[in-house]
Amino acid sequence: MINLKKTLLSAVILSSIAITGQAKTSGTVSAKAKSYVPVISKGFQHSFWLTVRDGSAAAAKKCGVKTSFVGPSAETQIAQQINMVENAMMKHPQGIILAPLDAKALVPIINQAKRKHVPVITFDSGLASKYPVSFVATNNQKAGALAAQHMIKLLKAKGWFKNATIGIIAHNAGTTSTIDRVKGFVDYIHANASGIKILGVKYSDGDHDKARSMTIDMLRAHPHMRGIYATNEGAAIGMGLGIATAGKAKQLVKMGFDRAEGTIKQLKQGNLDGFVAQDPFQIGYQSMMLMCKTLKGESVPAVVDIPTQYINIKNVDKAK
Amino acid sequence: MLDTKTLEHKGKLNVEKLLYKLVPLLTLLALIILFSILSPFFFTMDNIFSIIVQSSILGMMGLGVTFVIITAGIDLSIGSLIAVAGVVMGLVTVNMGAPLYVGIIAGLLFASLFGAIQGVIIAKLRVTAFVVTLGGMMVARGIGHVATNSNPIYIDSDFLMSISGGYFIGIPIPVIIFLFFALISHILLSYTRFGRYVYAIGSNEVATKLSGINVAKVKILTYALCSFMVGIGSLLMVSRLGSAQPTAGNTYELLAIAAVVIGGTSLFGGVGTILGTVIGTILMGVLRNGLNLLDVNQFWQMIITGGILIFAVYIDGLKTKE
Repeated sequence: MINLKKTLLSAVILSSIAITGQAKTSGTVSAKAKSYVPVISKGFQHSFWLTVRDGSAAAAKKCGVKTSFVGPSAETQIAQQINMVENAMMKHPQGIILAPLDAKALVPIINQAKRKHVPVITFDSGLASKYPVSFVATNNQKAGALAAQHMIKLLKAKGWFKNATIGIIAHNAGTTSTIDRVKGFVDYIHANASGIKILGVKYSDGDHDKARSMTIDMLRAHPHMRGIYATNEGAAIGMGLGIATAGKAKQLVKMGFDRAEGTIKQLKQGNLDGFVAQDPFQIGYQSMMLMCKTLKGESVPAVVDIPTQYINIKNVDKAK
Repeated sequence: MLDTKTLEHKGKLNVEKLLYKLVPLLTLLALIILFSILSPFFFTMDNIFSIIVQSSILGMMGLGVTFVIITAGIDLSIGSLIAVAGVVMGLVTVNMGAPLYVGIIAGLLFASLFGAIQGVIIAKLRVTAFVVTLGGMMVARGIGHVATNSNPIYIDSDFLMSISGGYFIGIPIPVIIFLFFALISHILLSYTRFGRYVYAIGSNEVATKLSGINVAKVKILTYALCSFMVGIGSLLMVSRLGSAQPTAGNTYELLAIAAVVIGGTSLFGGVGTILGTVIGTILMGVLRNGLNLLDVNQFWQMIITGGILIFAVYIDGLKTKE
């Protein structure tokens, strides 16, 4: 027979020990000792975000600001991200840094930040609002165009350029990074290679398994296709795995996105010909540095374009 | 013959049983006190409202599935239904150009019909609820993606946004909506014949059927009612996101069921209350919010929430043991 009161009491005590052991006691800091700038990213699904975290943490340390890094459990969890921004607002931050999962859905909560005069900086994906003081990102359209440029170069080199069929494995449909990376790619192809046919875009949500299955199905449905392009880390890894399973590596020009352990592996195994590498550390670092400047009253540029680099087997080990 | 020993024994059992019933509420109060001590941001009107607003979608799902679980059934499709009902609302409003209220009604009707169909398969065709609603979960999620080609449907409407963002007499509207439907559910469950039949089916389905009650009809109504409540949750979600997202509500079904179970409803049926579900929902909301305020890693949150769920079910099991 258990003693109910004792069990309940010990459960509460145990959980409070576990919690305080984990928590950085943000609530009990003395008054305005340090500014607090939380970073709400798109999640932890890709190593990309972990590098962003490293960058923002480094910058926060440099300018003496307290920070935290959270993100929803998957890049499809828009409502969860809204909750996270709301919770961040509850802690009365001096600024907020956000990578919106949906350009429109996050607007109402950012308007709340506006009403409370909390400056906002967005990164990676845009927000349909003029309020953020800066947007730090890869110019996604340029990045898509860079991938297209190399796609065309390789197609020509292999003699597949005329009337080739290309497929696209994108990540999340509603997010501007997807929209822009697809647009940049497609526009460049249309402008420079009008004979090329582009299949309907497939959205994998950046999930390795989904991207892999979609790639296998696409290759089966279009056995003569010659090019394939993935728009983010998860999509690229999945696509690589799918290409390997289908055994089609030698019949395709394969473009990926994002430097990560997974994409580098796919590249070295021959399942990717190259990928557009972003600089997530700089994205995180610059976002936080610009916020520090904003908090000091300095003005910052409205858009900061973090340059990308094309990585293939020749420079993969040289790159930083 | 009743001797003093038996009477004492019975008295003790009643007090113990009462305490077990109060565990969800006591745990909730303990957590509130704990977080209020650990974070100065927790116990503010703003934050308390925020907790309930954030819990309102799961809360609506919890209200609906409470009925189902009391009949010893289950509904795993509720998470996918959040998405697809919203997609229907979006398609009717944006793609078909109908007025918003027509879209909302279409979404609610779709949800209720989906639930009714599942109910028919469960009650008439006698297929296990777990299997039917698992299939329903996949079908609903698939319909949502197919109908939109995985793209969100944005709905441009101030009225729509005000449903989740607006206030009425100082109280956020989602809080009012959740509490309103909680009251309706409580009345249905505790003060109507329908409610009594729901408990009866869960306690002993065979006996209920033999006493002349149309068990199939009640079950179908239960699943339809559940899906209707989920439909209201879907409206809250569409309002919160300003769009119908085919990916919405992913994995929400398990969180909703967890809240219901934490609130004291037994997965074996016959036992449970709406008040328990409300407490369970708010408890999980408080836990989520409090741990977020303390910057606890969200994956630690999953461990803690899972632990509390198991603890709650253990206590629930003790209620029925002698």
